[in-house]
Amino acid sequence: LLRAALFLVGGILLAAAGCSAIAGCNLGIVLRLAIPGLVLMFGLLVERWRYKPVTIHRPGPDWVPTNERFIDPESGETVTVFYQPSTGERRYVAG
Amino acid sequence: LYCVSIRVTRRDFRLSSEELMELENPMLVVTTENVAGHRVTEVKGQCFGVVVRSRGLGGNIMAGLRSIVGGEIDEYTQLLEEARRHAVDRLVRNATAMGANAVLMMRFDSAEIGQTMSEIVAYGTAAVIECEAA
Repeated sequence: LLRAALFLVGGILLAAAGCSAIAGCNLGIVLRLAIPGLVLMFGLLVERWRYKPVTIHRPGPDWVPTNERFIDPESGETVTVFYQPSTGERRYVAG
Repeated sequence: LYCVSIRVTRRDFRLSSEELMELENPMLVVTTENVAGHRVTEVKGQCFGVVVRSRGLGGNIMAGLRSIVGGEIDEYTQLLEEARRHAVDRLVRNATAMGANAVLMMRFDSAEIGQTMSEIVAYGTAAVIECEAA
């Protein structure tokens, strides 16, 4: 909901910049509306914070389930950690 | 002879899936110095997993707005959870590269870099352990 509200704010800023450009307002006013709107929309759309998604299926036959389990705070699901003995890589599987 | 006896034992007694999983669990990460039922046969040395992560602009704005009313800041909870997993993954990968099958005395350390970046360090002692019953 908060994310949607921020999208709305960004959209309003861009729409206001567009309207003021059509109405022939000063370029400074148009840029002051457009730049924060663009930065806000870009920041909301392009956010590279996710590390490794929790998958539904077991990664492969050579992956070993470990006893490590935890509850994902985002989804509330129990997550099992799988381990690849040859590389030491770990994967997160729901269930 | 040892290998053969282990194979025969496993075939004869038909271990439960839990016991089998325990036997095949190749990397044990514990916060204790000793592992119950196991002995340390070799210490490989110190082992680390370091990561610095941050939320993007959108996440930081949402977290800032959420902090006005208080309560849990979901964006930063997710950030720290992802950072924890990332650091442990690196720790385990490094321990595997060292030829260990366990990380003993694992600890987390955290710090802040700048205003919005979170640094997590997972560290411990990479070791080779084996079951005492053998």
